[in-house]
Amino acid sequence: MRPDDLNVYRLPPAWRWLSARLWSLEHAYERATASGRLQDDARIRILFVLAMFTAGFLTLAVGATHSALFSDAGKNTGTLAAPSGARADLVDRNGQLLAVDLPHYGLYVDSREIWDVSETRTALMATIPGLTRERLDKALRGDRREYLVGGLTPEQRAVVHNLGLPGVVFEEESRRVYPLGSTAAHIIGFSDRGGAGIAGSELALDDTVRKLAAVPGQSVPLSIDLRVQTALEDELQKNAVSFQATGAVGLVTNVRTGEILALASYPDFNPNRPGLTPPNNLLNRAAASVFEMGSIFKVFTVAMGLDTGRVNLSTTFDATTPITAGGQTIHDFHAEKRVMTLSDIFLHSSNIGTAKLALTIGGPTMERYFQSFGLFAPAKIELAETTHPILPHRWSENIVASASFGHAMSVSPLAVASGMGAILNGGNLVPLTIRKVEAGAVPAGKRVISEATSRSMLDLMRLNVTHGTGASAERAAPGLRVGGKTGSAEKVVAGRYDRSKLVSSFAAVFPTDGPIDGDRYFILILVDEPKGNKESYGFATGGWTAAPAVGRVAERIAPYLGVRRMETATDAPAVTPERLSGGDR
Amino acid sequence: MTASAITRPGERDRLIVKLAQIDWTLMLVLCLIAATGAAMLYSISGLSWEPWAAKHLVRFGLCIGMMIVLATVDVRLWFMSAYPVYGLGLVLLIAVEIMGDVSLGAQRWLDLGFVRLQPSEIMKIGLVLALARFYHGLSAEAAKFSWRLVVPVVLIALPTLLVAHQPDLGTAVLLASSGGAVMVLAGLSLRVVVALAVTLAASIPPFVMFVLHDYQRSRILTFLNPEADPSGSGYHILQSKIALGSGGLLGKGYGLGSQSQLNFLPEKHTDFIFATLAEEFGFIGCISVLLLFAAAITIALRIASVSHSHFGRLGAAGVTATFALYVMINGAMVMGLAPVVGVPMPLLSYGGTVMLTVMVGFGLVQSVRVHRYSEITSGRGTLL
Repeated sequence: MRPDDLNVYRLPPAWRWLSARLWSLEHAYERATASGRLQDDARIRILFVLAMFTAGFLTLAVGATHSALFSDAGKNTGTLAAPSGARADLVDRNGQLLAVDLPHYGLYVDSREIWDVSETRTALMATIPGLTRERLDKALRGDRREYLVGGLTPEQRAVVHNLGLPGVVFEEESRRVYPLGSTAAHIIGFSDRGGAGIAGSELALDDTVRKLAAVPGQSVPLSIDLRVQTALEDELQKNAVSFQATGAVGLVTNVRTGEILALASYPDFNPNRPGLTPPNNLLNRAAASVFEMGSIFKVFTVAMGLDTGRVNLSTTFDATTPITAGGQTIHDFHAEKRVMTLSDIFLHSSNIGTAKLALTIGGPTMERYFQSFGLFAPAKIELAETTHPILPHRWSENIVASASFGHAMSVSPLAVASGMGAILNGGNLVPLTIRKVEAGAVPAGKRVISEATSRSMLDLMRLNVTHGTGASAERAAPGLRVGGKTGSAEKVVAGRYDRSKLVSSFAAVFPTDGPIDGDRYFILILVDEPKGNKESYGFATGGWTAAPAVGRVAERIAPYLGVRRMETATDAPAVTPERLSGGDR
Repeated sequence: MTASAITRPGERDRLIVKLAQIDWTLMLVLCLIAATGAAMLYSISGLSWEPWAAKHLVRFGLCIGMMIVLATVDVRLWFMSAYPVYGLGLVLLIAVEIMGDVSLGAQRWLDLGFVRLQPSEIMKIGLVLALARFYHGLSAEAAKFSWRLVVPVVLIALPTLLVAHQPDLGTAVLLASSGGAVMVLAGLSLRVVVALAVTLAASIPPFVMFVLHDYQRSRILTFLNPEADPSGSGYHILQSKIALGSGGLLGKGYGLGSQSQLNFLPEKHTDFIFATLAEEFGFIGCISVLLLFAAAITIALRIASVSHSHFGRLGAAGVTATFALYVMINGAMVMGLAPVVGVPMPLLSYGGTVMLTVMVGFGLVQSVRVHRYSEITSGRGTLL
């Protein structure tokens, strides 16, 4: 019965060896059970125990295989070059650095390696600012290495290092640094120490920023142009200070692509130290605040009037006397007390005329257009701060009349920029974006008004700057074909409109000529509660406060945006009331 | 079988013959394991002999010398000393219970003035010897299942309970399992084994909930879900798993394991040295070292099975079981397959006492091999 007796010689050696082992196992077991002898039984049992250990070792081998080859633990350190919490650089559309991770040092103490606890305590307390005694004592009592403080600069690290304390060690850690300080703070936002985005682009593009951190040299380009941004911020700041405003908003967008080229909110903050900033400064007024926008809303009302085809720019409305709609009397600020064409109504910013236009269009149509302009929802943009408008519950007559000139509903400046962009770019509502749109890309938009209406509105807004309430913008930016509309809304204080507290604004576009689907820039400046000063002859309205600032911004940014100044009438055929009304007839 | 050809009376008692009979393959395997341990300790301390690697090697050298001496000790002398060693261990355990040094919150050490002694280590050898001696004089029938088995149960229970009370859960588990292994080897009915295993499995949850210390319970619950408290009680396991996982197939390279080099891994030079190894040498390193351990265990069990005396068989197999349990408990702990119970990897981990215990055990194994033809008269108490 030995395997030698069997015909196994043709088997491969490994099989032969195995069958021999099996045979001896079986044989040993047979012998042991047959004899019943103690020692053979013990031998079998040793084999049994060996089998158990083999099973145990196989388990260990499987465990080791799993942990070493198939477990997720520790794998991310291998595949991902960046430590957790690392963030890619943010740059502007031209590659200028906006936010960067810089190496800092975390300080750890290992109580097991410390020689002299009291010496270490004294030395660390003396050298590290802001270190509390409790925190240090807790770390010194620990039984393993403990994190003490982070964010030490290389110099601070050197000082502690030179103390030569055993058991005090450093680990490199990243800290987000915003080299420009408060510049573009609201649109850049900031992240926390753990590398999580908290506000602005840092929050809105958090996933991308974290993912790209692993790719060396990759940065995230934002849509903003730092040159435009600084010009806007500068003008906004000067304006807000000179009119002692409580707040101010500035926006520059490309109406073709929806890109935000600049976004400013006053007062601002330093994103390197967001914790030291009052909440009022952290507020992004362009995205997270809503305002009754006032007369700049007439752009929407006139556009929808023209687009319905029910009226044209020569259609006349009687603005002789204040009208009463739903028990509310509507006055004109610059009362003309005459029958006016629609273009005159726009140029003189007649509330009475606009209200009559709105009542002609009717509530349901108005609602439909507001809806399509995106004014009934938060502005479409990546920013998490974008906020809901405050809307009337019921579109009664007086609401329709009030909304036509920007009262009765509050929207965010970003929503205005988005909706007005659609009116000024040929009629397509394009979502706003804080990410750079590559040159040549045509963003998908949704048609909301006709191209003809869009062209008429461009001309009308240009006319308003050359012949209407926005004249100060033309003086500040001659030859740049700026068009615009002023707005001055009284703020509601304790349930009543307060005539001394205004939201003054100017919504502008330039250049108003050129191909309808070309690059065209929308500028909005909104000043919250400006006080009239000597330069404005005491006036605090949009035409005196925001419009000149918009003009100065256009003047400063035109070279960067490639908008050429046209000095003579042959360069740019002027829009005149006659041509506009005639062309429309 | 060269040894069997030696027929001259007294030939086998000559020292040179005895030395030739030592299993040098086993010796080589043990040296390889200890050398790997020294290499890892050298790496952990930042490629330096200080503070661990040099001491590890020196200690191992002394232990090897001692093992060779023990290997020449007649197996009958081991037989005679079985009960006294057990008794001494028990007395010291009780002494520790009454007046022991408290170190790291556990009462494990006895300060004898010139040396600090851990009686539980003596007991690891003493228990196996005592059980082997007891079974040597027991019939196969009685060893299967009889009232006489009260004696080995008490022999196991006394030190286990004393050690568990210190509290040292790892060693208690080790003592109980080694003792159980000897009982199984000696012929305990397999039906009883199965019944006991089932009872044990059923009693674990109430034991965990009501008997254990808080820290012991948290270790066990942590083992089931280390992510629940990653910086607290789950820290060891998570860091260890990261070390293992980051090693991959071939490891990060010698001296390049960040988990251990940067002190993330606690007890990296003692209980968690296997994780360090896994990180630097990867899967290949793990499996190689496990194979070394498996080789040592297989050789030792083979030696046990060729012994002519029942005492030698049980003794050698018993200490081998202790060694194997060390390896398996530590391995499972490091891989997160078992709770963290504070059992080092023998010969690989830094630490003198465990190395001494293990090498005394292998001294017994070698002695059993050298004296494998010696019969021990089973007359009870005739030698003592």
